[in-house]
Amino acid sequence: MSENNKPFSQEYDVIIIGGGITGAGTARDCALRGLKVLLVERFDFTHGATGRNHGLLHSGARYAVTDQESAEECIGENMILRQIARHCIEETDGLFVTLPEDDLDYQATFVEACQRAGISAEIIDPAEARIIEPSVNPTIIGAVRVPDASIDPFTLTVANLLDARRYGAVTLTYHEVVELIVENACVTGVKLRNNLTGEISAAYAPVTVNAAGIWGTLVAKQAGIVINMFPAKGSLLIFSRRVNNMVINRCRKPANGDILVPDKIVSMLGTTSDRVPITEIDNMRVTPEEVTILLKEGVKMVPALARTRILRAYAGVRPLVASDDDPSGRSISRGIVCLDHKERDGLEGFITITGGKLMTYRLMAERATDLVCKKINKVGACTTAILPLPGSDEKLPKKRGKQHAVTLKAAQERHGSLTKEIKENTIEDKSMVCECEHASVGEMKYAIEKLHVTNLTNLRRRTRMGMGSCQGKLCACRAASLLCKAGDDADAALADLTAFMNERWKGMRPIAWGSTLSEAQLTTLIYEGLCGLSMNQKKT
Amino acid sequence: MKYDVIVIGGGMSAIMCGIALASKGKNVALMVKGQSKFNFSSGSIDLLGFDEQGNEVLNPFDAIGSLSASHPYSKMGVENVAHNAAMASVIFSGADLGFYGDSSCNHYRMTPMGILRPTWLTLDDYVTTDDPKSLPWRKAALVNIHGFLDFSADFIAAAMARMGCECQMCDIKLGTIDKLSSNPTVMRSTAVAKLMQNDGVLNDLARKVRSNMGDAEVVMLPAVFGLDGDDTVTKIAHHVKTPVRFVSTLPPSIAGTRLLSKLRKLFVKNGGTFLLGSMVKNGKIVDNRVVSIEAKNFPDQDIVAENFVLATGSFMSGGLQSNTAGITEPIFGLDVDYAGKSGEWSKECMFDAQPYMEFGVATDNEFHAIKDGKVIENLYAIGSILSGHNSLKLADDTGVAVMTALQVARQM
Repeated sequence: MSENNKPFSQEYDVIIIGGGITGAGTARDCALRGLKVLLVERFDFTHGATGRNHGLLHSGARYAVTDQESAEECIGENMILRQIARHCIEETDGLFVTLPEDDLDYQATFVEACQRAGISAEIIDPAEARIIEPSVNPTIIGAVRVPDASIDPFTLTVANLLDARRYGAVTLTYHEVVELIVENACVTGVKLRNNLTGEISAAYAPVTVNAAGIWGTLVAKQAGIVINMFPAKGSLLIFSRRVNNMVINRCRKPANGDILVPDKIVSMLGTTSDRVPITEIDNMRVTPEEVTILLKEGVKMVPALARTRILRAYAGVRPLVASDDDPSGRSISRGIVCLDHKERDGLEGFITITGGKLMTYRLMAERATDLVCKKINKVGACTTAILPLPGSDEKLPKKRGKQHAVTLKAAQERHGSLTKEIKENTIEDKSMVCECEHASVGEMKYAIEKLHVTNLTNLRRRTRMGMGSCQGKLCACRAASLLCKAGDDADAALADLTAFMNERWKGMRPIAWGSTLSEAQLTTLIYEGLCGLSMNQKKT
Repeated sequence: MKYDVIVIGGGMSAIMCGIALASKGKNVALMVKGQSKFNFSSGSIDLLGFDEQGNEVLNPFDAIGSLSASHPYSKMGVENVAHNAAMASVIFSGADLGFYGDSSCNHYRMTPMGILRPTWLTLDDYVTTDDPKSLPWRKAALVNIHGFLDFSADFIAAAMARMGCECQMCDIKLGTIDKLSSNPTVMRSTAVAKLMQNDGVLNDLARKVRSNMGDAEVVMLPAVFGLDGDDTVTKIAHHVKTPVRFVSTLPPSIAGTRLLSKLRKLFVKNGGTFLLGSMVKNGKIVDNRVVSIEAKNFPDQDIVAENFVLATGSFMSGGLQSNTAGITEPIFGLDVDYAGKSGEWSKECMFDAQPYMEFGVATDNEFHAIKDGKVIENLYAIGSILSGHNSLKLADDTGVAVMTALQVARQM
């Protein structure tokens, strides 16, 4: 774990709070403009909403009718990300389909709004739609093709962080801001707690950027600032195989269960939208009612979903900024909110970047960085729209060398040209840890060494280990052995393994019937029965 | 097709029931769908590892009396459990299975993660101990085959060190494994076990073990020996020239393959019939008796027997099915003991006692199945399909399989 959480100096140009995509993007932009950057994340990178969304590279079409500003931002960023983050994106294109129960007149409104926002929206014959996307409901009466795609938010975040580090940024996981240090109406730094060791430390910078997503409201509160957020829970279901090859949306006003995104070997159906109390944002559970709603709507678009095993259910919280009393949050703009607290609250040295969405993270980062630069009188132009991210900055080699074709292809989907850093020289390095996601020992070792990995959940987010149809049935044991070999204490590694499997189970529990229940029973048989693991692992 | 008894299933309970019936001279057929839980075998047979309060059980017979009335052991009574345990030992010897263990005193098996778990019988060449705080050896060589990930040598070594046994780690590189590992998906226990059937590979391994093992008193190996009979087991023990013990690996379990193949041989020797690839679809019940069953692989044939035994397992084996509307037994539509809505079948923590583990078909005390509240006179249910106990929390899964199988066979 050579590059994880290494000791850091105390003085920076900017401190960024939050290791989601917004924080990672801001760290990259600041570092590229020559700033000395510290990024702190209280748990793991992508722990919040970044790791709990659709993985959809929106064309913006979804918002064209209701939120023109967001739609325009989306299509602009869509085109940029295709250039700078090629390795994180699968260019699938998307369909907006009209079902017999939907109003076909909406299609014209939709296409007109898309065109106004600069989004290519081509009406195609429903028969053609069924040919290019065979999973779609054969009774559709309308179809529009748009430039939607699938994007891997985990890979995207890591690529931004790697580039920030390349330009000198220090990035820390498991470091939580416990206090904003305020002197003379100015935030001058942060007090940090290491959540693994409990150790307290401090870091200082003339500007601190609050990029903590929905948790940003709690961060701001530490300085007595009120940001009125609207925590909108969005639930999703993951299906055990890739049912569709194009993103499929309903051509109607945004509602529940109307987007199905192919994500490598699985498909993701979402979402719901319900306001949740801020006190519950750390404890999101998908309810049986949400599962029922999602399935009911999803099956209408893609009937095969009714016969496909659901792998897990999960929920994220959108960091919407409250504007009216819309109970679901559906009509709140997904637009970017960048707050200079000097102007807003009379507190210097503190910026909040929030609202927005995964799609517009780069633009959010740009706006936040512009403001940081302005505050510290730094001149520098934003280059993130043109500089490719690590992994997308080099061509993939034509020859594969010693790596096996299967693991190589999978690794390239996750790491792009950085795959060259993965060593698969020995028989062990070539062995496959996760057979669903084709992740090798070599890839695990690379992640452990280079990508801030201290536990199995970190490893899952960096390599997708345990995310496929088996949900960690055997690969988690194998990966735990590797962490143990890499220096983890055996007892701690076993405790981590039980915690990891328990976390996997939490996503299965809302859908624990049918084949999911059978799989869960088999998993428990292996872990508790055969291997003898239990929750009080440390005592044995 | 007509038999005295049709057993539906191919796991531990089915095969034990088949053997007991065949040895009584019954014309018995096992209708086996495909793979079974033998794939996940630990190499041990558990009788009762923990009581219902979660305390470790030393003498299973002392604890069986305190189990709740719904437990299959309570249904048959402790005397019958003892009788069946003795009968099982005879069958195992007849199958040429060497076990360590005693039904009146649990010992400990070592899991693939190095954890000790109380059990009844363990294959006698596997690592066991009577004392959970120490092992019978002070110095051991812990061998793994380089690139084989399903053996957690580091966890096992840490556990052994805690029990006062020093481990010499030997990560053995086998030249011949290169070919195998050129396809990264096949480094699984079965493939490695097949490789061990090659004398050249096995000798190479033994030679490298000998030169790396130092002064170890015992050589511990991943359980990838004994795939087809005891041949490789005998050879590795012979070549290493030091006592050899196996530790089970992640699935598929070679121990399970050893157990199953020997039990199958005995079943066939006793005159039993295997109907492999059998997909039993449904059964015809008239006047509280099963008249015949239908199977996909025997189209347009009624399969007839005096008695039927249902040994199709729990959810994971397809013996029970569930959806949001409830839980069903798919072949006969038997009464299933379960409670609540799907959201109430499980608990938040994976390692808590899961209510669904106790769901299963309802039976009377003689394990007759029940449909619409009526006892089916010639249909018995055995093994994991039974309700009334949590086999993971009690560590009694294989025990219940064996005991109910023999109990039912004796009743016929």
